[in-house]
Amino acid sequence: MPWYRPCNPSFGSALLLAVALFAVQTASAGGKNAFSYPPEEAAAHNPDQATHTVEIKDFKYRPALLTVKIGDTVEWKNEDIFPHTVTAVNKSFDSGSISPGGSWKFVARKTGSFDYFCTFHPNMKGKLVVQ
Amino acid sequence: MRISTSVIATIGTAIFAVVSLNTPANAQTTLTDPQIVGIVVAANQIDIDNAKLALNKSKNKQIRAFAQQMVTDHTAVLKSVSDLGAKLNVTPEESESSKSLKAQAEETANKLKELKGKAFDKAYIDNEVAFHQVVIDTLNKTLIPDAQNAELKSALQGAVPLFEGHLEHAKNVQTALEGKAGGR
Repeated sequence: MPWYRPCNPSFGSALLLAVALFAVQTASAGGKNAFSYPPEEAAAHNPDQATHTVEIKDFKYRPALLTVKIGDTVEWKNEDIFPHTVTAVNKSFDSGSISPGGSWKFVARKTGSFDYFCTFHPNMKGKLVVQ
Repeated sequence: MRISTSVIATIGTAIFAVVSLNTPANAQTTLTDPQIVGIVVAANQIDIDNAKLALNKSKNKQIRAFAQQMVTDHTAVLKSVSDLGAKLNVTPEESESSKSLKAQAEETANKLKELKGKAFDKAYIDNEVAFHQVVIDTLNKTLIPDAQNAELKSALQGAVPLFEGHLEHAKNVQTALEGKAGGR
């Protein structure tokens, strides 16, 4: 057993959860609270954060379904030779045109299930689930 | 209304001309790879030319955005076709199909040039819907089955979702235009 392992894994998870909950609360408080603690920063302070990549290639988002945690960063990389967009059906996010070879990323700040598509090629569909 | 119907009919004829080449009655006229590339180049160029016409003539935001996208996407296709042709040593060749496609497209363009304003917008987008549908059918029924080179066949298969995407986008614009007209 390595000496550096945390003594109690469940304590570590609880701590992460507490921090995550704090981030959620801060974000849902509207960001600009008494601590002037913007949600971006809250997300950045979430030790649980991760960056996920969705590849856009051959008119497909890969993976087409991605589940992330609040505060995580999602990056879409356009590997096609055509511009594409990442546009939520409910308009909660919209990349605008992503050039071939370009990318677009955002921090997931709201929980929920977000269907998205490419406004240029509406037959391209994906889904982002933020937990 | 009558004009746009005749535009669609024109395109329909062009499509029929392309597809009918592959009927069993004249199965010996199966297209060669250079002829297939010639048809693909012609189809892309036709759509770019129509889009440029729309950019010159239309003031409608959605039509202009769609037309701009057609120029961008089909120019990218032309480049990749030209790159693939160079790699496979296939030079685009004219065929009865490509000639007929171009002749019909010229007729359509002449009709579009006579129209203005909303009549132009409607005829242009109706034609885009019909044209992309024809190209998809031609790819699936003729060009992909006829292609000999595996890489060419795979590139043609890869192009189908692009045309399907354009078809869906064109239908969305068509619906939006109809909605505006109907709302008055």
